[in-house]
Amino acid sequence: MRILVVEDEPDLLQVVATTLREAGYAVDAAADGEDGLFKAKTWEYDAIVLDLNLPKLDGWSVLQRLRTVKRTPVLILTARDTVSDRVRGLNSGADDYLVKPFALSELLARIRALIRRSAGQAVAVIEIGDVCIDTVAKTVTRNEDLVPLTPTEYALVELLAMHRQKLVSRTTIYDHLFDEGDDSLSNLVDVHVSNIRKKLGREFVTTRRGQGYMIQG
Amino acid sequence: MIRSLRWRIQAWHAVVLTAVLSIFGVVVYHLQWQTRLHQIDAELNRTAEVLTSRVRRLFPKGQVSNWRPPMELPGVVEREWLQNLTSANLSKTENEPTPQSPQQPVVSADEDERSLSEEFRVQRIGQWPFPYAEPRDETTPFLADEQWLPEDFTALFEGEEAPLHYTVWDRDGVILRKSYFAPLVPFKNLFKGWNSMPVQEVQSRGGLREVIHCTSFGHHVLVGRSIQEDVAAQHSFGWLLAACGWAVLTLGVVGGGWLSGRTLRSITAMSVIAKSISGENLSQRIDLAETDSELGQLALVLNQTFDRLQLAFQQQLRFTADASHELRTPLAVIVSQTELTLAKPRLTDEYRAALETCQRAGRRMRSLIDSLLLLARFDAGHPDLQHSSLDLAEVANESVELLRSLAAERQITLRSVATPLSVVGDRDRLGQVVTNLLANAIRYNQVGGRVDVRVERVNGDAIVSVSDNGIGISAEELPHIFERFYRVDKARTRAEGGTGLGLAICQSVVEAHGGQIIARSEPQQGTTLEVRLPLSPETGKDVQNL
Repeated sequence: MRILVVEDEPDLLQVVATTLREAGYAVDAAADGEDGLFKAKTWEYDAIVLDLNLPKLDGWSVLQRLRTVKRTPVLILTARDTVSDRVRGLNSGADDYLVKPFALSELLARIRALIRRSAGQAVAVIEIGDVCIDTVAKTVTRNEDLVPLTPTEYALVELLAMHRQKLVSRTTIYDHLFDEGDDSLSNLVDVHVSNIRKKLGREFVTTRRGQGYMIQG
Repeated sequence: MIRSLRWRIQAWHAVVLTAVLSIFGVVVYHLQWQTRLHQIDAELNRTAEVLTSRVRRLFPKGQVSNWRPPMELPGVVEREWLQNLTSANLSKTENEPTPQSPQQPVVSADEDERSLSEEFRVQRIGQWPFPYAEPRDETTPFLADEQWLPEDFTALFEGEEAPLHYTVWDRDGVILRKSYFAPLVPFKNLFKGWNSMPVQEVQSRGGLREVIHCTSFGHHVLVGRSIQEDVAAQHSFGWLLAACGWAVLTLGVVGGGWLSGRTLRSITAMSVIAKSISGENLSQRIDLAETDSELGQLALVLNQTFDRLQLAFQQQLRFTADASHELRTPLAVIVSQTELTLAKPRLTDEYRAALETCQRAGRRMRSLIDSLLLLARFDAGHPDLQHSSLDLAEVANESVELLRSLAAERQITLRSVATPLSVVGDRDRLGQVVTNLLANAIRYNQVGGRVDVRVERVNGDAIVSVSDNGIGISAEELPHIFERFYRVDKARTRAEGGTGLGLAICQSVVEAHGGQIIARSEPQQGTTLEVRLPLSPETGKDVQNL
């Protein structure tokens, strides 16, 4: 899962980005509105964390311009706490609103919920056959036995599971799993997929050669 | 209710209207009555003139007549008595009409008649309140009274419905003639002497209005008429007047009530709107339909007050929101950073980095709170300044030395031209102002730029100007730079750790010293900030002495 954080306070940007990375997300950062809008338009993010008071282009404008081209879930993270600000934020096309100071756990929970909802999943636990994916604990169990996965492997499983019965292209996988700082080789995805097959069974992930991967079931 | 403006206006209106109407009514009533009397008097006078001229003709020389009223012309009241008289000498007067026989006056009858007549005369003198003259001597010529009255005049005096009555006396009060229904009128002697001017007198007796003309030789002519009809007419006129007055009063009070209600309704509407204006709803305004009237002016003034109130309220709200935002951001850093760091065991370097982040955020909060408190003190009017006489050049140079290393770091040339100038002020705060302006000039400058500080005397004021050749400030942004939390370049301010309050504080400090601060800027040319402070009194004196 790949997330964009747009925040002009360097220390806070650092903290939020680190938190999300430690939670297994790929994170891109932008320090002003123009940069944030450019990245949000360019890449396929699973969610965007957006501050409102931004240099160059304020959060509302970023949101309005983004909404003309994309439906990426947006969480507004701001110190502006008045009701009118919240209403304005949500009316501009935001999906959620969190006021500073905030608990990191709440931020993570809200981002998880945003991603889940945008993928059409209503619950936090996805069951595929005998495999059970807990998106809160970020664990995968098979026949109630914990399957040890690396964060990237888990992220790939979650991404495919979120879009189950749909083809997920290699580009999409790259876009969602790796942030702009990563310079992963393309065959790395194949390595992760083969590792997942070893742990969860050969039939768990289906390969469409030249197109991508998908989870049936 | 009773104390409400509307009812007081109404009450006063009614009182004043009643008073005005009463005075008006009384005056009109009186004038009308006077006019009426005047007309009556004129009519009576005209008639009396005619009668007087007749009397003059009858008694051309003013001689006293021994003529006595013929018995066929009795007065109303004395009719009974006259009838007695008549019964005594009727035969005589009938056979020989009095005017035709001057040799046989009324009183010269036979002996019995004479004694009877004498008896009546005594009786007359005794009963009547006016004297009767003694009988005239026989030689006095008696003038006939044919054509005594013109034809058209007789209609005025004859009959039961005769409007006028008259009585004619000689100067001794003997009735010479009187109309049939003329009441008995006490004789009032107006004769002042021979050849005196004719005298006229008007009198009102009971329901009668009478004029008495006294000729120059003593004949008195009284013409009177009943004014009971006039009094009745006047009374009905009075009632009509009262009714009209009452109607006008009612109309006036009702109309006044309607008017005052109408006027006060707009006041009520204004007060309703004024009441409804609160912190939640400041946008409502009074309808300015009648801006020309006094109420319209009041509404205009109120609306302007509301505008200022709304502006102040919005500024306050924005300031609060901005302050809260500025405080929340470092707080969020601290809370999030600690939560992240404590989530799992970290390396020593990670703990150090986290603590440094928290320290930065904490310092920022402290500086922000200090600035906010300082501004609050200035706003409350307690700037708490330590006033002393100081040299502005010294203060400026200290600030320059303080920031020389920062300038060197950014390769900025810092130049100072300072003339010693004595001003009275708070040394620390003024130093803070100069430092602040200098720091801004250095921070928001290009690498290799320059900053000039000048302390000089212009038009009796001390001027400290800090100018740079940086990127300048656009004309749209220039008016806002002294606003709290206004940042021209947000990203850069954040990176420099500015609070957005520096220039606002400078402005407050300078204004608390009785000075002013202005900014001039041209994009791509540079910015000049100029602080103008009043010189201390001694400096002013020195210059005057020079």
